[in-house]
Amino acid sequence: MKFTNIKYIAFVLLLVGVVGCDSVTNSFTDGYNENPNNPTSAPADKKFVAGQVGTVTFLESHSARKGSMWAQYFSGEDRQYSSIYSYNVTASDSDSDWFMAYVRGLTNLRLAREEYNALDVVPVNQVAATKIWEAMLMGQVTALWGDVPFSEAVNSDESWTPTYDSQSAVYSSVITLLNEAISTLESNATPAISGDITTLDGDIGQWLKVAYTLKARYLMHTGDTSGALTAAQNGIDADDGTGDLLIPHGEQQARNQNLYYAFTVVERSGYLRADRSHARSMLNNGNNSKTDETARAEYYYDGAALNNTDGFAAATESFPLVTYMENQMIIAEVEAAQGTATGDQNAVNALNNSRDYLDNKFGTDNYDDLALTDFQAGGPYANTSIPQHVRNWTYLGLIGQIEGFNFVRRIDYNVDGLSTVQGSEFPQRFLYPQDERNTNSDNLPDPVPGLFDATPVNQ
Amino acid sequence: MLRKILSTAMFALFLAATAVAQDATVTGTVTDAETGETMPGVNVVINELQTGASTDADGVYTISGVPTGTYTIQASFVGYRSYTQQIEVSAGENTHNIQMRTDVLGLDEVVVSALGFEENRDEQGTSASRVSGDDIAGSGELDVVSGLSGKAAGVNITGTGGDPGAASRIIIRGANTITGDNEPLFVIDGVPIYNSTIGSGVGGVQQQSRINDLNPDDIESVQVLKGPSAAALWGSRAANGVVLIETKSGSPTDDNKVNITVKSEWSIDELNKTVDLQKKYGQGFGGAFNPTTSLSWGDKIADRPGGDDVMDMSDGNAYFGPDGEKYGLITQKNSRQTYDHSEAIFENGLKADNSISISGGSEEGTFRLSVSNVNQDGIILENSDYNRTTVKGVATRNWDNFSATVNAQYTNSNSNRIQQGSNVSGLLLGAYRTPPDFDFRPHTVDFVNADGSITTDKHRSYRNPTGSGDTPIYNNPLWTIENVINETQVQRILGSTELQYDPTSWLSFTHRLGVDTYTDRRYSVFPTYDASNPSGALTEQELGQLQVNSDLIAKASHTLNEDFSGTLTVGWNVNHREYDELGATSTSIILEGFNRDVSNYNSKNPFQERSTQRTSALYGVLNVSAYDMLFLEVTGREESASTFGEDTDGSFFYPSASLAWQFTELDALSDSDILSFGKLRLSYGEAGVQPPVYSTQTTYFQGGLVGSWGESLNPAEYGGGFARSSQAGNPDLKVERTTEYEIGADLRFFNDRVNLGLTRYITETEDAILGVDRAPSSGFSTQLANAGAIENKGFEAELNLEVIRSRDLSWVINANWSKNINKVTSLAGADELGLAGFTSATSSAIVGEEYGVFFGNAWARNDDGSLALDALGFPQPAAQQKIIGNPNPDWRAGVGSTVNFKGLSLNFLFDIKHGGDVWNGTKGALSFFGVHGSQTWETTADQDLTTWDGRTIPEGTTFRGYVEDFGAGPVAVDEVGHYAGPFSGFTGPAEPFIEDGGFVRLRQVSLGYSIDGQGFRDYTGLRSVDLRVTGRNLLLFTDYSGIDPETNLTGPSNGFGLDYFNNPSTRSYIFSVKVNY
Repeated sequence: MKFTNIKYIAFVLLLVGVVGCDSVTNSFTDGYNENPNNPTSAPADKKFVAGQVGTVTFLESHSARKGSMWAQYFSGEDRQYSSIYSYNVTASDSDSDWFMAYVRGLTNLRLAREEYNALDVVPVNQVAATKIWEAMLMGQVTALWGDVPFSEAVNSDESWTPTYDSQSAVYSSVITLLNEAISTLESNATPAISGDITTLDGDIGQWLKVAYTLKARYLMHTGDTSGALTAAQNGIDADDGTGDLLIPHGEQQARNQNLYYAFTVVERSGYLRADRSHARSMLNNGNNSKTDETARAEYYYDGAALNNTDGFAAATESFPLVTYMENQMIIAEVEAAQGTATGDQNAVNALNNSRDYLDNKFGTDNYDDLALTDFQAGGPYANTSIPQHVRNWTYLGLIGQIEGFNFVRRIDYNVDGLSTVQGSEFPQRFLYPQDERNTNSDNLPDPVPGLFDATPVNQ
Repeated sequence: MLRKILSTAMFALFLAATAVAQDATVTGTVTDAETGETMPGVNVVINELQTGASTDADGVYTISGVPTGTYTIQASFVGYRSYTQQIEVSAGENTHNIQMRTDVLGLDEVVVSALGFEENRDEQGTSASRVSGDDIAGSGELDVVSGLSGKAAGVNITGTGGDPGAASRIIIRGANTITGDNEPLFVIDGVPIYNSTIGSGVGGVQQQSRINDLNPDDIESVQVLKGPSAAALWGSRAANGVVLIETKSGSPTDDNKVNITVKSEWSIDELNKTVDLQKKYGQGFGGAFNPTTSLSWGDKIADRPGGDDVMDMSDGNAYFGPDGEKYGLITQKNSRQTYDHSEAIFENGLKADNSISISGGSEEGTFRLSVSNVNQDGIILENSDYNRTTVKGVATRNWDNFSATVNAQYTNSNSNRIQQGSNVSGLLLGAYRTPPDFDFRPHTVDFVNADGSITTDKHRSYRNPTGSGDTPIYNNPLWTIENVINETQVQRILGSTELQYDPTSWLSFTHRLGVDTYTDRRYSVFPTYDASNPSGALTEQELGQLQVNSDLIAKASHTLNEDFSGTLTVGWNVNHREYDELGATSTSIILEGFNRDVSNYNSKNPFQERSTQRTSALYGVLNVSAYDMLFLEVTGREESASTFGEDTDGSFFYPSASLAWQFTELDALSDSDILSFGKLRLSYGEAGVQPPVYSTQTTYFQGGLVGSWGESLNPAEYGGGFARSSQAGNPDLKVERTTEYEIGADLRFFNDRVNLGLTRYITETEDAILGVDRAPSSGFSTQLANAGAIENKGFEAELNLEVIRSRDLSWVINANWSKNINKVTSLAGADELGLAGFTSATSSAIVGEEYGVFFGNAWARNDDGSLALDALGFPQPAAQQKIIGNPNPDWRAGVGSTVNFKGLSLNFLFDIKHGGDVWNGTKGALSFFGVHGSQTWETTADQDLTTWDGRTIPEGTTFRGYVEDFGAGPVAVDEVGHYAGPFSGFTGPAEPFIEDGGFVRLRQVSLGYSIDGQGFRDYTGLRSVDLRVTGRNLLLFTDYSGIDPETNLTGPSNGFGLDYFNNPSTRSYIFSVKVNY
């Protein structure tokens, strides 16, 4: 019997062992969930660089190419691109654009700002820089899609299904961001923005002007032309291009090559060409007594292909995000619309500034100054009104950029000679992406607008 | 001899000492039923009295002190079936001789529990399939998994290809997880080991599984625990079942003899089934020759005049061959010669498998040492080989109540593989697409440039017939075989120790420690002018895994009374696993030919990956037996793992319970002449699948931000940045849970000559981990979550028949049959989740369907199911993708038989898979090019016929194509319908290229002769010499039109049934000699 008792005690001890607390097992496993390959946090500066690069991949890749096809800067000549060019596009085609904008761009910009703001000494100029980038990104996003997530966006702690803000609310938030940045930069001339990936190298003065030009751009989108004019007058003012906001590129494949180059040479040769490019045809037919477009045409095009050897789509060619050209053309457009002699003269002055800019850019003397008489009988632009010429010129000043697509929609495609590729309607937007329809359908505008439904500002 | 005298003396003493107080004595001689030889060391027991004796050196047993009456006498011995008989004992000496039958069925009475302890099979409440090591080694396969094919119900094995060392997919019952690993856990001698297959995809090479590192000759037995109800003690690694492998150890020998076995096996491997290619029409289209097209829709070769072809020898179109002669671009084809591109790249493979083992021991300890080497030269002409050397030792030392075992194995395996699949550098993609009139010799030429200069060593292929430019577009298969290197060099060490301490008769402690570690060094070399890497490329990488496992187990048993007894086992398990991978892909070679040096490349892209994963658990098993007929087992495992989310409980409990009822122990049934044994089984268990490592936290990464068209900017080039991952971490991530219910019966009839096992099971997995799509505007696009569900229901039957058993002749038939129906029940709102394959045909998980069904492009159909035709009367592709096939078989079966006559043995095994589709993507692609063997049609129009592109073929015209009525009158399907219209896999739906992949194959047939007669033994001093001839895979009956349908492009992956220019399988003729000393 005694023997049996020992046995029972042993059984009980063994049972206790089984039921024994989790700590026996947890102590062995705790602390092994740290990923050695990827950190769970990163400093603000690193996120800021990632956010900028993410924003650029949105502004310079498929969305720019698609916008450029619909603005007929370029044409789609193979497989999916020929379909897109002729307005045959599915919702899933927007997936990568939207992903780049929100997941790569906005997410990392906002995370960087959050972290800057959390520092003991807040680097206000860095904060301002993130605001300018966010404004540039989300201004284009709302221009392309209309109502989009903004106030609840990229904050999964609060919501996995962000609501959509109205387009006017997003524009107004964009302007607010720019105003805040402008106010900061105006009162803090130093230090320079660190981690600036553009050609401006963090220069506060230059960035301030970029902020004004962006403000002008988005006020134009919303129809506030006088506000836009005032902003543009404080915008980029270097006609040698040194104030332009450009992304530098290099030779490293899949690392820093120009994305037009990467697409047209490395990834999908033959997809994007200029066989049916309206801009190319305008440039080829644009020469007159005061204007020689040869250099500009050769910069963008190489026959019916994009110039990817020493022009716009070359591997090392910088890509434009905001330029002096755009700033001057906003001035020209607003002034020309006044319908007054002063307005006309101011518009022509702005045109001439942009022509100097082109000569500086190409190292040419191809663009003589225009005078009001050039738009009168006997002049080279006698058949064109000044506002129409400004529209044509602005169109040619934004080749390859999303802003060109925004512009043609804003002016109802009123560029000389521009007609639809297929059917009677021009594209008015990017489609809401399939990914978002699958995951956030309750918040999407109802009914979901189609390709030919204009965004609210253009209605 | 001394021993014999001693033991006889002791026996006599024993008799003398006990003879006084006896009622009765039972005595007899135990002999082998087949050979008639006496058997020493057999345990003979009188059940009712719990008393017994062992037979002596002459096979004689004597049990004395038996009161008169009726008893059950039982005898048992390793390798023999247990003997049970009722006897009448009367006063005095009763003689009862016993004949023991060898366990020819391989159904040892003993099974291994999940913890590796031997248990009585008849007391198990779960089904377990057990296959002996000899059966596996005798299959002629080089790896354990392939060797199991067809031998166990519910164990589904699919080879992935015929390249040396290629992995096999093993799925037990059905898929239990959606995106996790569906292969079982492998446990060797109580210690878990890796069976990883790393690097499989739609292109590349056929990768190995690490289970290949074991030498089948070292294996004693393999037992498969088919699901959670049997395997729950392995917790979060057991949802897919557990394969328990026991390795051979030494056994005590007489007179300190050392046993030596030398085996030499030679095998000739042949291509067993190839793709049919047409040889009637040449390169070109529109019925005319064209030297630069990819198509073979050219002229009819037989109509050519014969003689030499006309060549353009001008600079820029000419080349010098290795023979020094100048050749040019063929502009007019006169020659009628054709080439066999389907077989020319293959030869007979040769395989040598040599091994030696030394074993022996005594009561105090045993040892076994073995060395083996396999050297295989594959059926592809060059650079396809496998060389494996294993060294294994196991030693045990026994003391009174303590024993220690050390087990160590080293494997060195080197292999070279040929690129396959969807890959312009792949072997068969380039070979099969080549027009029948194109000679792909020579493959390397000196090209004459347009300016007259010469560029040497250019790559010539049918897409680049003169070797101009940098790329051949598709590799010339002969160039691939000779130049593209894909090496893997594996060094692996498996080691384990086991200590056992028995302080008392009812208590024991066991500790097991196991280490499994390997490194796999890989080189992938593409010289300049390779189609995928025109500038040359080298991917050099080293990957490795390490696993350390420890189990401390205490076991206590207690007999309450004669009706109830029980055992309690408790244990503590800790497991540590590491993965490490480091390598670089380098492109743009500087000095050609010196292609294994990373520094010799201009562009380098390094990569690195590490992970550590830990699991720890406490577990317990309670076994209770009642009235010798009811056996209950209850188990529980409380487990925590580092992969679980921070916000989960941190540990999970996995219970299981099983009950076995030997109903033939009931008095009413115990005397049945028909039913000699009957047992009902009932079991339940839960097990899991752990989340992928590091999925619980959101991370930041440095790397390119890539657009969907491949273009990318890397923040590193812009001052350095870290972006947040698009996959959100999930701190709530927990284990997937698979619950299994199993019911079954084990029945034996006619004195155990007929054995039948029946099992029905239902398995349900909840909280399956899968990637849930998130709204990108939330900042993430995906997150892993416990969101899916999948279930399996099935039935298994195993039957063994002992048709003849006599001393000289025995004939055994064994058969197994299994059917599993799987259903994906939830995908967290998603409709379809691709597992493997291409957009045109993806092996997918789809709610409400079996796991792995093909989702892809189909024909457009009307509501009534008829084809929706275009205006010309042709079918057209549907706008929406849909389910177009199911690779899961309807059922599988294996039927085998063994006949032994004296020393001669003949056995065979048929393996049957009924149903189960295969996507014949190879045929789909070849139909585009006009080279598939089915495309030799020649039809004369009996009326005016419309073609797919709207042309009219006038009545009386002969064309290459066929006439079919799709529902709107006969139309002509000709070449345009194939290369531009919807009748090829490139330009049309995949639906017509889904084929039935069912088969009946003679997996194995062998004839052996064992020379072991007494005269032979005395004369040679050898125990035996075994000679054997085996045929592996000799017959294959299938409707599948491609290669052997037992194949899969993406290796042993979750998605399966994909054939796209896969390297084909083989059959073998194997000769083996085994000398036992």
